[in-house]
Parts: sequence; structure tokens; C-alpha cells
Amino acid sequence: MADDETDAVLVARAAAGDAAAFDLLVGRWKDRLLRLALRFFRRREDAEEIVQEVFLRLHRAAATWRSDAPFEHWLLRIATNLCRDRLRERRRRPEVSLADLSDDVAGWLDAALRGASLEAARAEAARVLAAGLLDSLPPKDRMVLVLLDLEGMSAADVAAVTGSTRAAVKVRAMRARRALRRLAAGGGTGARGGTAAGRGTAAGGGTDE
Amino acid sequence: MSECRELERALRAPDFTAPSEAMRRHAAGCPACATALRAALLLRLGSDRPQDATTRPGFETRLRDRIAAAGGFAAAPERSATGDWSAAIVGLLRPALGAAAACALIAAALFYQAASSVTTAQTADLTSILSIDPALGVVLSDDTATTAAAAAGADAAAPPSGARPAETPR
Ligand SMILES: [Zn+2]
Repeated sequence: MADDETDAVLVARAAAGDAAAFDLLVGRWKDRLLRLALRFFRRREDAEEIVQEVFLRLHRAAATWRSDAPFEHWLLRIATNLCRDRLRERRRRPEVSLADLSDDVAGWLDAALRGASLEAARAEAARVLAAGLLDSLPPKDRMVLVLLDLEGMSAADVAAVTGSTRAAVKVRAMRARRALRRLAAGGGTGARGGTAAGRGTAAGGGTDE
Repeated sequence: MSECRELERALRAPDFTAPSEAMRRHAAGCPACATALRAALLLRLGSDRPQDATTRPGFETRLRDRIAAAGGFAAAPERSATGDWSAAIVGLLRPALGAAAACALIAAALFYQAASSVTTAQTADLTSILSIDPALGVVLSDDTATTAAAAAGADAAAPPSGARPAETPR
């Protein structure tokens, strides 16, 4: 089967039980999905597990896809739903205890947020702390920010992917930006992120210059 | 103010990674933009991942194994909403068709029973009709040549010139 078949053709064949068509879809989309999942899950195995689950659901539900909507939206919707559910679970059982991180790490994060460049090990520690802080955002809010600002999607596309409306996406994005600014300024989100963010700011002197 | 808007737009660009010198200068004198800059950097730092990330070797094998464990490709895929409807309709129709077939069999049996009870009485009538209508007689005898002749009202022994004997299918 030719690799230049459209997604629509491949999905129809996969739905009819064509394993080769399904394999082509996997090859075409796995890395895109992995990179999206890695935005939320730093551990490679966690991100890959999300991608595996997306394709398992595609296998089960290929026949339910309607070609009047882009396949990419449908696939990303499965992926974002899975990421959101996992983020909710992780919010209840955080993997990183921010309180255990040293003041040094908080200082490195603060330096990074001032735009300073850090040596690799410190930059990595700052990334872990930053990811832990983002975990305190409501998963849907975080999802919308990532899709809009990092994935470069339009509000209409985000609405299609998250099963929302364009207006609702904009409202959510506004609220999410406010929460993110509070977090970055050290005020927390009202969730558990407040303390560590406060520590980060205090350790760095609390200046934004 | 327009500088603030410009900075805000730059922070939301997917390719933004680090502030330019101009952005830093502006943020130094504008607390709101300084916070927005920190927020944008926090989002990027916490959501960072390798640009060229790819699945590890064995990804497809693991996926194939899991699909096989779930029934593989031979298993019927999950039905769509319309699929469920058509399956439901077929499910409803199947017993109805069975009932209809049973009714037809019973009706045929009753008809046969009724017909055989009048056959003897009607045989005489049928014989008298055949005796006065030679055409019906040959129709019932299944003889094409004589049918045509009888219909034309001619002598059954001498077919009309245009009539040909029935052809044998090759
Ligand atoms: Zn400003």
C-alpha cells in the first residue's frame, strides 16, 4: 500500500481490518503524538504509554470517525483527553514533591525565568521544578495554553480538538494565563503550587528584571 | 502600551524560547510585562521536550502485541452509532422474518388441505371446460406447436406456415 494515501483512506481500511493501513497511520502520527504527550509528561515511558493508548483506541474506534472532520483533530482529541485524565490523576498523586527540592533549585528556576542561561544540570533541575508547578494548574487550562502558545494552534482548532467552542477556549485561555502569571510571580494557583513558587521567587530575590 | 502588546504577542509565538534584549529592557520597566515574561518562560520550561523526540525501538511491536491481545484485526471493530442502529434493526427483523416464513408455511399447508378436499368435486368441471376450449387443453398439455395452432383455431395436426417448432436451447 502506498504511503501517500490520505488519512481518510487509511482509516477506512483500518476500520475494515487492514493491519497494513493501520501501521501506516501509526508511522505517520506516532512522533507527533509523542511530542505532544512529552509536553505534559517528562518521563518518556509515560508519554509513550499515552501514544500507545491513543492507537489502541484508534484500533477500537476507527469505524466511528466521520470524514467531515479532520482526522488530525479526532486523533489529537483522543490524545488530549488521555493527557487530561492522566494529569488529573497525577494532580491527586504528585510524582515530584516540590517541598523536597532545595532552595538552590528554586534559585535556578528563578534565574531561568529571568531569561538567564544555566548549565545543563541546573537547567534540567529547573525544568523539573517548572513542570511540577505547571502540574498545579487545572489540566484543561494547561492543555489550552500548551496547544495555543506552544503548539501554535488557532483557537478554532483548539476548540475542535478539546470539544469546546472558540469563545470558551478564549475565556479559558485568559483564565489560565492569569493563573500562570500568579504561579510565575510566586503567588501559586490556590492549589499546592503556591509554596514552591513562593520559594522560587524568594530564593531568587523576587525581582523580574 | 503598544510595546506591551507587541511583547505579549511575541510571548505567545510558538517559536519563542528566550527574551530578546529589547524585551528584557521593556520588562525591566513594566511590572505587568515582567510577570507575563516569567509566565511564558515557566510554561516553556515546564513543557520543554526534545524537538526531534521519537518513539523508542520496539514501540510498534508492543502496540501490535496489545492489539493482538485485544482481539487483533480479525475482530470486528467497534461499531459507530449508525452501525449500532443497523445492527439493532437487523436484530429486530430476524425474528419477524422467521415468523413470516412460518405463517407462509402454515398458509400453504391450509391451502393445500382445502384444495385437495375440492379437487374431486371440481375435476368434472375442469374436464367439461377442456372439452369446449381446445386452447386451454393444449396449454395444460405443454405442447407449443399445438398451442399456436389451437389459438389460431386451426386443425391441431397442421401447424400454420409461420409457426416454428420450439427451439432447443443450445
Ligand atoms: Zn509592558
